[in-house]
Amino acid sequence: MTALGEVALWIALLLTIWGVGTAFIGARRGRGDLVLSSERSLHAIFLLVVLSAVMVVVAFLRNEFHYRYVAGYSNIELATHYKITALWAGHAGSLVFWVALLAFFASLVVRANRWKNRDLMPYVSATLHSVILFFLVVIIFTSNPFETLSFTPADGRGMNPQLQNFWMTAHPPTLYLGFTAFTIPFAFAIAALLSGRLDTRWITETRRWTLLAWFFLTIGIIMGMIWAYETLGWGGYWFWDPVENASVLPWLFGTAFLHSVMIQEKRGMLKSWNLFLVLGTFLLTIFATFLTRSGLIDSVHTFAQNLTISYVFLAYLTVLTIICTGLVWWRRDRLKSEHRLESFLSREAAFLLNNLLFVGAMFAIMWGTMFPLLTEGLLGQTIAVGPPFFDRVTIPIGLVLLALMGIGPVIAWRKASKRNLRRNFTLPTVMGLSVGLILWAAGVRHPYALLTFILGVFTLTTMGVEFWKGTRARARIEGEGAGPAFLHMMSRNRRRYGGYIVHIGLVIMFMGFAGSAYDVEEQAALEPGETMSVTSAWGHTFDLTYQATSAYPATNMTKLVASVRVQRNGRDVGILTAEQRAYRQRDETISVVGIRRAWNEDLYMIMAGIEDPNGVIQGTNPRPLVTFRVLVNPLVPWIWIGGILMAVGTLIAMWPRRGVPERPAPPRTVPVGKVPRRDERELAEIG
Amino acid sequence: MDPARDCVPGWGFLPPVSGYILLVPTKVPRKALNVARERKFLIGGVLVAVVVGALMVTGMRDAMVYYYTPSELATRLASDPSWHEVGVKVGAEVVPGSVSFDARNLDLRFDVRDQSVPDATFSVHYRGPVPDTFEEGREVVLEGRMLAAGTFEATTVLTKCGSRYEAVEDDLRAIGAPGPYYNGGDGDSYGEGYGDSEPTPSGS
Repeated sequence: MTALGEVALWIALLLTIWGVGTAFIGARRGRGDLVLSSERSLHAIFLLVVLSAVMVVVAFLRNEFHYRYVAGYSNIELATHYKITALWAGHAGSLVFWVALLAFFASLVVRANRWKNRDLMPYVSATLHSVILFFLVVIIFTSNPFETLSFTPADGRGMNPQLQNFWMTAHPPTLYLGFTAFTIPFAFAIAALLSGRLDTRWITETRRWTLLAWFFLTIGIIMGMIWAYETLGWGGYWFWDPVENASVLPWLFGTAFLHSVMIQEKRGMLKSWNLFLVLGTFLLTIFATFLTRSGLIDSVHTFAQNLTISYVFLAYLTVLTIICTGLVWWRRDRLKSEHRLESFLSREAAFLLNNLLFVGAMFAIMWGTMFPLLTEGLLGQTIAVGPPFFDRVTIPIGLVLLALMGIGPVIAWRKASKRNLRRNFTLPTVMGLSVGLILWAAGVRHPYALLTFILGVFTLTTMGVEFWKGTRARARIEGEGAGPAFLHMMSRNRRRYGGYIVHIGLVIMFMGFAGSAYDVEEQAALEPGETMSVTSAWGHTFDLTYQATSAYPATNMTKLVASVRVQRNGRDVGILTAEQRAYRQRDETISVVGIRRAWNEDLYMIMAGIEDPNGVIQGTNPRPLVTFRVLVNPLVPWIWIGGILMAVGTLIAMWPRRGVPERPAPPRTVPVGKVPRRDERELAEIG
Repeated sequence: MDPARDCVPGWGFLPPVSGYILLVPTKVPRKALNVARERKFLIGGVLVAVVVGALMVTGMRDAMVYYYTPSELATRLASDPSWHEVGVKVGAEVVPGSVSFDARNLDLRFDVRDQSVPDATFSVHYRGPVPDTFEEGREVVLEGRMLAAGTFEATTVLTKCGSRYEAVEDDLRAIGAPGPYYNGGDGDSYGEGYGDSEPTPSGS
């Protein structure tokens, strides 16, 4: 039965070819029936690819180990929910999952644009089909999850223990949702270029899609950070690992685009720049897939295995780049700016600087990530750059962006007057500097941490003033109380205030990052009953008394759980446990950290080593010696709080307005030719 | 506005497309003749690029690490002993049967070998916990330096991320043979499972 999944992939592949052809011919000849057929083929592809993905999951659930993919990533005793998430545990399955998500968005786009953008839709459909076509070819010919082995193993190798974790279940799908959703703005950009309709419409039409993509990408990246923090067990959340970097590259471009798009809407400037960013963001999502999937960077010396995939992706990237550049060059006449920059002290200039910094950061991170590969190729000697490089480049850029977040939203368009500057920035500057002074007096000397707080408070103050002014104005004009006025103001200007909330979340997150300058770490080997103590940057003393280690057998592993009594400044605050999990199937051990969260700091405990683990499991050694590594990480909870605020703000910004129906396009833009009867009837109803 | 009549060349010596990519105005409106102002913005943009570039260059100087295989490192050390002082990254494979860990002092010792040149091996010393999913036969990336005594003093030991781990047919055949887990029940099999560190009974 599961072999049906492969058949579905093949039919989908044929449909993509049909879809590209009909879309182009339909657009050229004005054949609306062909265009409709092309659009509907996206719905069919969606169903087929979902069927294929479901079949992979079914194969996992039924332990069909004659599939190489199933045998490689699962085994009989794997928990059922992980058998479902095993779909994206490996390369081939995650590609199928990827295409399913992409087809889902494509199908949604077709549905949402039944009555509008009819001039763009043929090209949108063609572009989406072609992207799906590429991925289907990659799946079918290089990484087919339905590839069978010549024999049927009695059991599979099991899933990587580090993936058997809630955050690893949620992180890849969210990230993929973000990556694939960026294909929609890309498709509209290509459609605008091909059709020549390069006014601002394609951008306003895709604005919400871009936000949606950005929303998922942001959440996905933050979930990755949480995963790293909670399972990797070295006390941090960001490592500048190539795979992490790969997800940030499109995020940086996408973020730049979300800002520069406002300049185009308001001032008709930066048209080609926006195209560059949209096309670039999509290319970077492909590049990110290439980086993560080819394994080129991480395993510089052992890439023979996936060399084909690397070449296929590189070729695709090259072709895409050439096509995009060619199209922009071809349409260069229609990409003229309507206005010019007038002053450095203007919102346009602030946004432009923001964009340059985002793009600069992107290239710097890309450079650092690709450096081992470049030196290997050019010098024959691999040279890697470590985290210090990325810190050196990104922290200053981040600080300037932190300040711009406070400046950009309130500085005047075109040219700011002295009065505008004084009125908007006096209070924030005073607030920022006084917080800086207070922190200095309190003994904070780390320059970057200090600057983060000064600039962060500056930005938070401008945001606060904005909210306060808006609410007060509305309360006065409408005669409302402060609460309703605040809510109405937000719902009337969702994009603006949603954006502000995203900024506030990011500022809070930055402050959380700054806390890492004051991490404390201690390490001790303890017999049961012994105590170690660690003093945090806040001056709290934690006394940790090791009590016991017990073994708990679970379905596919044995947990060794060490429990520790925690006292904070001499007062009992509870028991903290840390684990080592020994997985049977791969003979691998991972550690699970224990975290005691408080509003101001995390007590983070790792069970780093245990003497005689076998004795503990067999019950012969009930009092083993355990080595603990304990960290106190200040302000970490605020990173996650900031992340939640960012998600909430984005949701507010992209939430559709109630009671404002999507305006149906005038009938003349519906493609000519044969329109099916039901559609005609619906059209008549709308009028 | 008709560009031909109303514009004067700005950075016209560049091909026109550069205006779109580099933000360089290749044509400047004659009406405004804001050459000075345009140039100011250009200088602003270049300044940002220069600052970012400078950050990158200084960052590179601090963070550059040579990446070697064990055999490459051996060749390099033989030709120039001063490399004993230099921090390097080494990608290698943990030699089965060589791992010893002192849980009291977090003192980890193991041997690594080159995957392509099996003779090139050396001992590694690392002070810290056993990294997650560290096991014999696993690929690891070490950071640290090779002491003159011939031991590699590692500051970090990274285990390769397993999500790209492709199943090798031999491993799967080995799983087909009953492993200790099926005979011995639950707890006893700790530390002696039937992973890829097991010698493959059926070979090829």
